Amino acid sequence: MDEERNGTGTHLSDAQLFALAAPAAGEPEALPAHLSLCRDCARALREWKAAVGAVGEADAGELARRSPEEWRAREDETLEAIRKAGSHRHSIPAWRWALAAAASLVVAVLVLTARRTAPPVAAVAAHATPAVAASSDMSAADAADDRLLRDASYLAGGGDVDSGSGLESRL
Amino acid sequence: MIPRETASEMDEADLIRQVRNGNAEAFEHFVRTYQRRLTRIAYRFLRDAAEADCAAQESFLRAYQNIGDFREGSTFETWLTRICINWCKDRLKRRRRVVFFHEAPVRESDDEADEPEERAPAGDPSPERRAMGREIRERLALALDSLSPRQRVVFGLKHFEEMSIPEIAASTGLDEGTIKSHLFRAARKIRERLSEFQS
Repeated sequence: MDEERNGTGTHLSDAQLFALAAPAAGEPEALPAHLSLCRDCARALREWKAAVGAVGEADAGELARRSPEEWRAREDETLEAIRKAGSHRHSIPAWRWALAAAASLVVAVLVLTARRTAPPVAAVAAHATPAVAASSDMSAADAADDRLLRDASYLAGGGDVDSGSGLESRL
Repeated sequence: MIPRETASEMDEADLIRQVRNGNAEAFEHFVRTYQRRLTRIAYRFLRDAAEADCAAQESFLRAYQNIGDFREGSTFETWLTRICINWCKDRLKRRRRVVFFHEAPVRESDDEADEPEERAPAGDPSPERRAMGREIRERLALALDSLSPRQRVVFGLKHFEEMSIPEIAASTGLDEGTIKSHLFRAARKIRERLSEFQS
């Protein structure tokens, strides 16, 4: 653009017009008095303001050329993703509650079953402790008798002689 | 340029409460209102339309999933924009391109040169005026190329997306003084380039 366009004084430069079209601080700058006198500069300022908008659109690349329908389709995709996330988000607490309840139930059943089948700890200790104590002081013959008695007790309880008790060979 | 939503007709605070109470449909208002603008902001960072779409969708998802973190009193749009810009920054880091801070901007395939004639301001469609408008746009686009990526992003958010300085600061995490400094330097650089062209 020429520095001098007509006889009304020095015209505004491109840099000055740009500064007015896109104020750096974000606030509109005071318009020079020349603009009210010079039609060319006033028109040029309008062009510069339009250029800022147009370059901004061009700077948005292909997005600037998207149709409203294309934008709508992308919004629908986002909404669909959010609906999926929403249903997932709300299914998680229910699933967690169900899992926690099932786990509690299983633990309770296991505890009750164990209590019914296992002998009382005190009784086991009362029987086991003398045997263990005795076994360390027993002679070889006593130990053999002890093994025989254990095997007999095992058979009386329904055990199998093939299970490795050694009773059959000893008998 | 996308027109900014002024005071929303719908009470966004009320919609947010509905979303928090499990009404996903109430979120539709935010998607319809902000997706287009959010995608454009993401594009200013990423310079890739597909990635910008992804950034916008991911930002909405994150906003939806973390709606409990939104503090009433701030604007939903600023919060959402911040989520989006953070996503874009993470993306740039992962790309190892770091366009935002260090590299030269990637130019699209001369989109500016293909700008249709109707971009010229309406009301005076004379050939002379159209030529003048085109010439100005070309000079301005060339001058914009002299900006650093960060200056260009901040300039774009301010003048193309019409965000205020406090909004840019809140969305980018930069303080207002830094934003003003970027804008000032960007404007100075553009003016210098324009003066060079003119001389």
